[in-house]
Amino acid sequence: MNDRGFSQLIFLLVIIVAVVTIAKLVPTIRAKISLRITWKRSLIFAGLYLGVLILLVPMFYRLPNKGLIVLASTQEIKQAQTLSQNTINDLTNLLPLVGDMDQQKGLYQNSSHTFKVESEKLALIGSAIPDNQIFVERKGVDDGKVEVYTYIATHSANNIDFTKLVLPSVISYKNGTLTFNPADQQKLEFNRFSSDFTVTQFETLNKGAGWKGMSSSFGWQVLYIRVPKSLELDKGKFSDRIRMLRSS
Amino acid sequence: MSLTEVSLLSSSFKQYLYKLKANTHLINRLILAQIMALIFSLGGGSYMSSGSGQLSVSVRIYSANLVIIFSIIWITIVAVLLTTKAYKHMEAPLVANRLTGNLSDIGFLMTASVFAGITASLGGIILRILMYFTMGRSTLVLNEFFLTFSDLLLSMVVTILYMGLVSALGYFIGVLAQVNMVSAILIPAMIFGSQRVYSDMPQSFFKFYVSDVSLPSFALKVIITALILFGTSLLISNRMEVNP
Repeated sequence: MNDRGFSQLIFLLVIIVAVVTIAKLVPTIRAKISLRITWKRSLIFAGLYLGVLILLVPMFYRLPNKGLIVLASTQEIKQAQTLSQNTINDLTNLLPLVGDMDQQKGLYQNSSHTFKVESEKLALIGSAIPDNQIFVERKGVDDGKVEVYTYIATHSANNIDFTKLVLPSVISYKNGTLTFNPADQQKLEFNRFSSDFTVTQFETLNKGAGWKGMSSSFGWQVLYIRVPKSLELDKGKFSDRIRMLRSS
Repeated sequence: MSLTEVSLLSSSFKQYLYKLKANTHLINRLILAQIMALIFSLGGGSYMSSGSGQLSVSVRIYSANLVIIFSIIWITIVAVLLTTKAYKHMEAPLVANRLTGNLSDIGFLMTASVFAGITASLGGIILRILMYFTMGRSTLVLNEFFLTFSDLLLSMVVTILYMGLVSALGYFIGVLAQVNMVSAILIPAMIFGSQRVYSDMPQSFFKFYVSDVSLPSFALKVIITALILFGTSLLISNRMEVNP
């Protein structure tokens, strides 16, 4: 049971205890309250309630909308997915990219690392990362630096583009070994408000009937490694997953 | 003729004002019901989640539907309550007949529907404000959060119409129960029975109102149905006076 489930269980128990307590106290409370509730007091109470509700309306429309998530259109999501897929296909087929990796639309760079390499050999180890593509490019010079960039393609759930929130793979370098492992368990929770059924009834034709289920898309993760010209690579268990790019 | 009409209306209006005073405690129950519905709504409605590898994503959808539903349940109970003997005894201090009593009941129900409709729709605003301040803004979706003012007005009008329709139905069932308890049980039983034979019938009946995407057409359907139900209730109730 997760935290939310546990808190809901506690909430339910509190409600049950409250209901039982109230049920036992109702006859006494009712007798006392009925003496105090007059039509004038009820009217004032109803008026106050309505007044507060009405006063909240202008306050609500003054709330700043900065920082709230704006839904992407289905077309935008599809376009980003196509563009990222095209980039990955081009890299896989050793086709030249138009511009640098950073300029590729549909791909978002979520981390970058530069490691100074003293040894002449670089071993690659780590856990297999699902949906991961590894591309290695040899630089034109022996500058003694290994540059590792991680990119991710568009991640979305019900038109919420959460690409920028996805944690990058954990990458480290020690004693001639470059290690990459998946990021820690990540849970993203989004909250959406849906219009009342009294409004959606008349918007079915214009806006669609709303969400019928979860529609999610988890894009590729790309590891782009740039190594010095003459560095020897030990690909280890990743040999079949690593794609060597042409030297720049 | 004219004098009779005036006295009927003025008598009904006096009773209506009297019932507004006498039944204000019912409004307190509506407010309590709406506050309860708001608390329940804060837990969220539907929940969807999806995951891949180390990443899981969930989307919780909130709405103020429960506030409207609780208000509809409240007006149904009030409509039935008004037809009970205990509430009818309240008319005793006033010079009245069944017709004026029923007209004042209808007036009270319409007033209650308007109040409940407005407050239930505004409940959505409270819920949004509470969500805005209690949840992280970075987890909140902007779309549909700031409902337009026209949507707010639309929600009020439609909720009031639903309240009017349901109160007419509740009042009709209440009157039936006063005439004959058997008929009050028999008619709903017939409706449920017919559902088994003609499974599409209740759905079509429900869809007749809920699937209407045109506000004028929906309003017309609701008003006509409510008039028929209230009219039938008046006729049945008047018959009770002749043959109690």
